[in-house]
Amino acid sequence: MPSTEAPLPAESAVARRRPTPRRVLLADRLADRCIRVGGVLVIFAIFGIMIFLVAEVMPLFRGGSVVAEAEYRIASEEERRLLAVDEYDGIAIEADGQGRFLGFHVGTGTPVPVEAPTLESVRLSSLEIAPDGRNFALGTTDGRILLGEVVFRTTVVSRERVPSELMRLDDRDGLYGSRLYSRLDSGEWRRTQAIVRLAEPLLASSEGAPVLRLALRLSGTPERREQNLLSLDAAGKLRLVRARARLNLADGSLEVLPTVAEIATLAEPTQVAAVLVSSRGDQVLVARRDGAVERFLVRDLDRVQRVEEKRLLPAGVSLSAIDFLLGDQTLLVAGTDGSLAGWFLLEREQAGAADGRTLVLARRFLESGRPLIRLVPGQRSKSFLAADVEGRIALWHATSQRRLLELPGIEGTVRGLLFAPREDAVLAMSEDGRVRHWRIHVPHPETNWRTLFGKVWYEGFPEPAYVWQSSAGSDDFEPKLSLVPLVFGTFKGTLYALLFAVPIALAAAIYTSEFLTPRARNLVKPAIETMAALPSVVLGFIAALVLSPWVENWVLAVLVAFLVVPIALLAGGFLWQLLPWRHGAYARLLRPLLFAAVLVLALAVAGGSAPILEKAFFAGDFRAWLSGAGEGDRALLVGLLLPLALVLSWWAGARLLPASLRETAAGQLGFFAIVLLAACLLALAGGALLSLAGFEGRGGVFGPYTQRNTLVVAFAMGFAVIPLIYTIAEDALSSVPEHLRAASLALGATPWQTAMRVIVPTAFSGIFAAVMIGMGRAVGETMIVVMAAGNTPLLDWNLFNGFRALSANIAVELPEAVRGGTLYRVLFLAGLVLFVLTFLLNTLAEVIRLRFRRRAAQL
Amino acid sequence: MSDRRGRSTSLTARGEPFQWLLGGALGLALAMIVGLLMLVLWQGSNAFWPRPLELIELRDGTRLLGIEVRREPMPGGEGMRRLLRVGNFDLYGEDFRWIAEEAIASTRFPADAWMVERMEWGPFIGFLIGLERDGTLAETDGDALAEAHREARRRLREIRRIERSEIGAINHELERLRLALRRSELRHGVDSLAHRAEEARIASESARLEERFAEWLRKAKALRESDSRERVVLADVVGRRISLPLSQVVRFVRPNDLSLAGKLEVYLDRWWEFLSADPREANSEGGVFPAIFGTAVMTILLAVLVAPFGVVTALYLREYARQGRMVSLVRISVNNLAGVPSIVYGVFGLGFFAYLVGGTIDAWFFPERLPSPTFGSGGLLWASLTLALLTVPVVIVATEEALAAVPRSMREGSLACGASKWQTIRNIVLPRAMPGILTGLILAMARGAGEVAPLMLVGVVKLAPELPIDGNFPYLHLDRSFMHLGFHIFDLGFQSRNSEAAKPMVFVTALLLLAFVFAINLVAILVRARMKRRFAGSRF
Repeated sequence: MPSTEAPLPAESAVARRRPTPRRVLLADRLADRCIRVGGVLVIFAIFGIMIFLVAEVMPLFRGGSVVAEAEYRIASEEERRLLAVDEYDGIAIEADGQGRFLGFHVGTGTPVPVEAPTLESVRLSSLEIAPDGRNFALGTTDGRILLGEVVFRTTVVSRERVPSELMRLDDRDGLYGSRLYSRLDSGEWRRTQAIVRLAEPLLASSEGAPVLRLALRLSGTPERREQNLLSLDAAGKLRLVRARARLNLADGSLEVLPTVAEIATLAEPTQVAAVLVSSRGDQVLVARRDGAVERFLVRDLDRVQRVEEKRLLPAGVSLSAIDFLLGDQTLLVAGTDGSLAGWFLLEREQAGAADGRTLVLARRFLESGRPLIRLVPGQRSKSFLAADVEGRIALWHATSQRRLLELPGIEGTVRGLLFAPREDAVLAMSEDGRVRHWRIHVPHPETNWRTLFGKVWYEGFPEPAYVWQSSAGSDDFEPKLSLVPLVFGTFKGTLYALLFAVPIALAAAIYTSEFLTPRARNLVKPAIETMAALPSVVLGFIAALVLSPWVENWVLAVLVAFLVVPIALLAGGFLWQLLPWRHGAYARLLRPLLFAAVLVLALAVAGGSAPILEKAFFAGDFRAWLSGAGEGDRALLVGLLLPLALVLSWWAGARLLPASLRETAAGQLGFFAIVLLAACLLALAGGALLSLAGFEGRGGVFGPYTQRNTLVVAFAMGFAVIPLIYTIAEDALSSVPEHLRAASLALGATPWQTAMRVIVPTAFSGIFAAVMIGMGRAVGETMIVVMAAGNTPLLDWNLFNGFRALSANIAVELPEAVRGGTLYRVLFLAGLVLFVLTFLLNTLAEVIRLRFRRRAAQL
Repeated sequence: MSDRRGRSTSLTARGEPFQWLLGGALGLALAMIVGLLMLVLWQGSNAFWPRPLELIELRDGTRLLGIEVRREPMPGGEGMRRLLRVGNFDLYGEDFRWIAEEAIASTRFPADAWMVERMEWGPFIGFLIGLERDGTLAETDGDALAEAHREARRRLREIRRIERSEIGAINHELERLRLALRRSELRHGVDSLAHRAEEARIASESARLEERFAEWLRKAKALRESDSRERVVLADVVGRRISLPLSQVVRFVRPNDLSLAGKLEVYLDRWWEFLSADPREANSEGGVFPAIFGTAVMTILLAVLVAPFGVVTALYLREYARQGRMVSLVRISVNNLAGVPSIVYGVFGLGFFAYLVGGTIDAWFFPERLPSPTFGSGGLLWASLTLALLTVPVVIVATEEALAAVPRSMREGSLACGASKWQTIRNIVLPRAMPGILTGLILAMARGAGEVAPLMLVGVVKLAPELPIDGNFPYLHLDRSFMHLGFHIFDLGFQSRNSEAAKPMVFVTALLLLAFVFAINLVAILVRARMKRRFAGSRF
C-alpha cells in the first residue's frame, strides 16, 4: 500500500528535535476521547435494553400508594350515610335519616347545594347503593321503598365562562352556587353539578313493617334499564321487585313499571345480615348472622325455588360482612374471626341443589385477626375496600389476592365508606361525622407473581388454571394474564422444531466436514448458509399458505416418511456395498445422485403407502381418526415403537448373530434384513402388548388435527434453525486440529471410525453450543409462529394443534395495547422473559464454545 | 487402497450405511433450500404471465368464463375439481369458483374473451361491447381502444398529479400555517398582541392559499368531468353489462389471442407496474413501489446509523480498552445480543424510542401538534434505530475480527516510524480492515432488510399515504410510518379480504424480498472475495 506519510528525516536527531505537531497530538487525543466515550456508550446502550425492560415491568409488582390526604368534619346531628361521589372526586353526596340529600366538596368538606326533591315525613331504615355507585334504594320505617339516582352533570367549559366571583376551595376547585368548577391541565375548566332524582315510592311491605334489608342490581341500557330490587321487612317478607324503568327524556323523570314477587317469609328477619340478588335477578341469597346462606333460584317471578342452604363459615364464627364483587360472580364472606374468603357459584356433580350448582370456596385472603365489618367492591375492577372493627381500611384485589394498600383508617367505627368510581380515591366517615379522604394510585392491581406465573381460579372457571385471555367484548371482563401458556407454547414449538432440525443439521455437518471433498464443501456450505439469510416472514408465509394445506392432505405420509427415509437410506448403504466398483472414480459422482434417488424413492414410498395404511388401520381418514373416529390405536403404537425396536434389535443383532456374517457385503445386507425383520416383529408385539395394557396412541402427542399446527411450524422453523446449527457445528468439526485426524487415519482407523470416535467427541462441546444457539433462535422466532401456529394459547403437547408463543403474542398484541396499561407491561414482561431466556442460552453456548476453542488449540 | 491389501478393512468399520444416513440428511437439507427457492422463483415469476381464459359449459347449462388456477382431487370423494378464477367481484360477490370435473360438458378458449384489469373490484372477465362517449355507444376495435385508453390514462395521471402534488403541497402549507398559529398561541398566549398579529398574518396567507386551492380544485373537477364522459361497456359471459370510466381500466388483455411476443409484453408491463406503481384493492393488486422504497430507505438509514456506532465500539474494544476479564465479558455479551430475538428489540424500540424519547421530543419541539404524535409513535427513524441496535452486534463482531486480522507487525512498524496511535489506526489499521468492516456492515443490512417482527411494533403500516421522502420541506420525513416488503407479505397473506386472489402477489413480493436480501448478501460475498485476493499476496 502506498504510504501517504512524508518520508522520515534521515537523521533521527533531527526528528527528535522537531516536536510532534500539535495538530497530530490534538487529533490523537480527540480520537481517543471519542472512541472511548462512544464505545462505552454503545456498550451501555446495549445493556440499557435490559434495564429499560426491567424498569417498564417493575410497576406490575408494586402495590399502590396514597397520593394525597384530607380530613374534615361535616355537621353530624343526624344519622348520615355516604351515598355517592362523582367520577372526578369533586362532590360527594350523603343522605340523612329523614331522606335529605346533602352534598359536600370532597377535598375540603365545604357544603355544596344539591338539587334534590324533599321528602315529607320519612324515616329511613335502610339504604342500598347499586354497583354503579349512582343508583340507590332507600327503605323507610313505614315499609316504603324509594328508588333513586344521583346524577353528576359534568361539562368542560372554557376559561371565559368561569364566573369571576368563584369561591376558592382549594388549588383545583372553586364553588359558585351549586356548581363546582375544577381547573384542568389543559387550561379549561370542568363544571360539575349534583342532582338527585327519585322515583315514586314503591309499597314493598303491605303491613307497613319497616324495610330492614335491601339489595339493588341493574341491567339493560341507561335509557331502558331493568332493576332488580330485593327487600326484607321486619315481618320477614322477602320480596323481589323487578322494575323496568324508562327515563323520560323530556323532563328527566324516571317512569317505573314494577312487578313484585314474594320469595319467602323468613322466621327471624332480624337475624339476617344481608340479602343479595344477582344482576339478572335469577339468584337470591339470604345471609344469616350465624354464617349460613340460603339460596333461591328465580327462574321467573312466579317460579321461585329454594335450592340450597350452606354454611360459609366454620362453627362458632358468625358473619361480619358479605357482598358480591363486580360482576356478581364472587361472593365475599367475612367472619368474626377476621377471616375473608371468596366463594363462587359453580356447577358441581355432587351439588345437591336443583340447578346442579353450589357455592364453592375459591379464595382465601390473609387473615388479620380483626373482623371486617364493611366490604365495598370497586366499580371497574375486582378490587374492593375492607374496613375492620378498629377503623382500619385496606384495599384488596380479589384475583391476585393481594393487599394492595393499607390506609391509616379512621378512629372508631366506620359508618360510611365510598370507593370512587375510577378507583382512585377513598372516602371514609366515622361515627362522629369526621370524614377522611385519600387519593390513591394503584396502577396494576391485578398482577403479581401468582397471577402471572401461577394457577389462578378465575370467576366462572371450574378450577384453578393457567389462562391467557387478554381481551374480550364485555365490560366486566377480567383480563387473564398467565404467562405460563405462552412460555409453554414457546417451548413446545422449540422442542418439536429441534427434534426435526437437530438430527438433520448435525448429520449434514458431520458429513460435510468429514466425508465431502474440499471442493464440494466449498459449494455446499455457502448454499446452506444462504438458507440462514431467508427472511423468516417468507418462511412463515410458505408454511402457512403452502405447507399447511399440503401437510393437511398428507399428514400420515409425512409421519411415515420420518420412519421410511432413514430406513431406506440405511438399506441403500447396504446395497451400495454390494457394488463391485464402489471405490471407482465414477462412484464418487454416483453416490450423491444415489442419495437423491433413495430420498425420492423413500418419499414416494411414504406417499404411496399412506393411503393404504389409512384405509387399513385408521378408518380411511387419519385426521378424522385423530379426532376420535374409528377404533384401534395399535398401528400408531407400532409405528411409534419401531425406531426404538430398530435400535434394540440392532444392538442385539450385533451381539447375538455370528460376527462372520458381517464380513461380506451380502452378509451385511442379510444382517440388516434380519435386524429390520426383528424390529418389525418386536414393534408389532410391543404394540399389541401396549394396547392390551390399555395404552393409547391418540391423545397426548397425537391429538385432533387443526390446519395451523406445530408440525408445520416445526418444519418451517427447520429452515431457520438448520443452517444456524449446521454452520456452527461444521465450524467446530473443521477446527479440530488436522494432526488428530492424520494420526487416527495413520493408525489404521477408517474415516468413519475417525469421524465418530475422534473428531465428533473432540468437537462435542462445539456441537453442543451449536444446538444451544439453534435453540435460542427457535425460542425467539416470531414471524413463522405468528403466521403458521394458529396462536391458540393451549397447554398440551399435541403435535397437530397450534400454540401461542411469547414472541408471537407480543407481535400480535403489543400494537393494540394501551401505553402504560397492564397488558402493555405484561407484554414487556414477556419480552424480558424472552430476552433473559435467550441471553442465558447464548451465554452458555458461548462459554462452552470458548472452552472448546481453548481445548482444541491445546491439542 | 484397502482392496490391494490382503485383508480388507471390516465393512462394519467403514460404516457405509451410516454414511448414507448422514449424506441423506445433507441431501435433505439441500433439497429443502433448493425446493423452497424454486417454489418461490417459479410461483413468483409465473404470477404475471397471461393465462388463457377458459369458457366452461356445465351439464346444467351454466356458463363460466375464467382462469384455471389449480386442479385437485375432490375432498372426500372421487374425481377431480378445478378452481376457476371468474373475477367480476362486483357482479358475483366472489372471485373464485370450484367446479367438479364431472359436471363439465365442454370447454373452449374464445379468442375474443377479455381480461380487463380495473382500479377497483379486481379483474373483469368477459367480452368487450364498445366505447360509450357522452352517452352514445359505439363499437370499437383493438387499436382504437388502445389509443383511447392511453389518452384516458394520461388524463387520469394529470388528475392525480394535480391532486397529489399541487393540492397536496397547498394542504401541506395550510397545515404548516395552522401549526404556526397554534405554536404562537402556546408561546405568547391567546390574548397577547404578538399572537393577534400572527393570527392576522396567517389568516391573510391562508386566504391566498385557499384561493389557489380552489383554482386547482376547479381544474381537477373539470378534468374529472371530461374523464367520466368516456366509458367502456363490458359484458360478462351470460351477457350482464357493466360500464365504467375508461381511465379506471389499468390494462386490456385478450390472453387467448396473444402471440408469444404479445404475452411477453403484457408480462413485462405487469412487472413494471408491480415495481413502479402504488398498491390498490387492499394491496392485493397493483404495485409495491412504496414498499420497495420504504425498505430501501430504511435499510440505508440503518446502515448510516449502525456503521459509526459499530466501528467505534469495535475500535474501543480492540484498540483502546485494556484487554482483560471485563472486556472478554463484554465481548461475550455483545456476541449474545446477536442472538436475542428481534421482537425483543421491537418491544424496546416501541417503549424507549417511540414512547419515551419520541414523546419527549414531541413535548419539547412539537407541542403545537399534540395530542397527535409526531415522533411519539412508530416511524422511519425509530424503525431504523431499532434495527440498528439489532444489527450492531453483527458489525461489532465483524469489525473486531477484521481489526484482529491486521498483523501486529504493521502497527508496530507504523508506531516505530513515529506515527501517533490515531494516525496508525486511521492510515494503517482501518484501510486494511475496511473490507472486513464493509462485509459486516452489508451483512447487517441484509439481516435488517429481512426483519419484520420488530417493525410491526415500531412504524410499519400496511398502507402509507405518503412516502418518507417527498418534495415538501424537510424532504426526508423521519417521523412518517412507512411500508415494507416483508410486512407487505405478512399483510397480504394474512389480513387480506381475498387471500386466494392475493396469493400470486405474495409470491412475487416474496421473490422480490428474497432477491433484495440475496443481492445484499452477494455484495458481501464479493467484497469478502476481493479482500482475500487483495491481501493474499502482501503478507508480511
